[in-house]
Amino acid sequence: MTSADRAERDGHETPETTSALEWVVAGIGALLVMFAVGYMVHFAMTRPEGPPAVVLEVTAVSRTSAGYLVRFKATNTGHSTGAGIVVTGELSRDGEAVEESEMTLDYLPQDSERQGGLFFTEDPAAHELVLRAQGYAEP
Amino acid sequence: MLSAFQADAAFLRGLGRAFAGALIFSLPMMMTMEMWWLGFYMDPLRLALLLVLTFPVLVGLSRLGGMRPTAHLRDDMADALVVMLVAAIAAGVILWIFGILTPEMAPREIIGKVALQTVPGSFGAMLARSQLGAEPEGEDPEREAPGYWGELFLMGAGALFLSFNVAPTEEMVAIAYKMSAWQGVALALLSLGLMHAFVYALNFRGGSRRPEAIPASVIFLRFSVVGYAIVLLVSLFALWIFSRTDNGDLQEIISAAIVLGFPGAIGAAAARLLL
Repeated sequence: MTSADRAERDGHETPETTSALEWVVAGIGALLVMFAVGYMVHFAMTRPEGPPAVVLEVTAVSRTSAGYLVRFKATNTGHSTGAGIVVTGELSRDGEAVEESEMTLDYLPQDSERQGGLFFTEDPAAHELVLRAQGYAEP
Repeated sequence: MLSAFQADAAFLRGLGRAFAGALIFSLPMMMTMEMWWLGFYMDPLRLALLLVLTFPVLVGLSRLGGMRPTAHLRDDMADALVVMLVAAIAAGVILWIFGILTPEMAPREIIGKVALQTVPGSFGAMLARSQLGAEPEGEDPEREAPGYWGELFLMGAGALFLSFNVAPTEEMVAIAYKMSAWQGVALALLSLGLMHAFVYALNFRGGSRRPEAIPASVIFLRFSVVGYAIVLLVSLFALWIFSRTDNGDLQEIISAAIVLGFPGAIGAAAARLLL
């Protein structure tokens, strides 16, 4: 049975036809869905598979009531999401480690940024500060 | 024939209902961490496939229920696109308000999170008419009951909707680990039994009347067993989409499908009551 037959038979139900306004909204919906699908396919095709790569950058150092806070920005320039990324910060003076702090980033999606902070009791400005990503898990 | 103004007014009311439906059905998923994470780490090709497959399922739902009585397939297609847009807007706004979407996120992450939420949201928006319509003629006794294939389709859509709610969570795999093989078998039998009892034996309001002439055993085989098989396939599909089958062995995958099939079976049975 074709839809036209069905419409004729159900004629007394007066099925609504699609208004011009609805077609406009539907058209926007179609563009949006096609964009999302196209973006995902393009992304899958153009991005090589690979591990995450974490770039750490200190954004601010400030005093807190209990010591010092080093805030940083983590960016994943690699090709997959990293989960449970352990970030450590080490304060050293004349090549000798003075203090170490550690935190874990739950997730760092590729190309995305996450903010975090490390607490120290010694002043980072008076030491050499090195931030390092220690490891990750595949999600 | 409705005037253009009346048609627009009816469409705008339908849009409002669709937003309400998208919120009611997808809020639990917008408040689920795994759904946010899957938005950025799930395989982009599987996410694209999921979006593409959502469209024909929505068209089918529109055919069998949907926002309004429709005459032509192209009207159902228009409705399907409208509810996908509604669901995407709802997901974008709510996730932004929740702070789940922020400007420093990569486009891949933002698009992924919104696209994934669009799937349950658009189901909800499509179901909104039958659930929130409350029109006096909403019962429309004239409406043609879905045929056998239509019934199976509805069961599959119901299973997909409910299993989608739980498939992303860690608990599915955790429950599968905790169950022994015998408990797995018991859960499969319980799911099948509940599914049969829900609709066919209990004959709920809106449930299919059991035609007197057909023996119960035939109905059990034609609907409940086939329905449960569809539920298990839908569960496997949902697990695969979310990469939950990639590292498991066969026994693990089957138990996870049975666990997921439990809510799926309830969803399949309920879909026939609700729609």
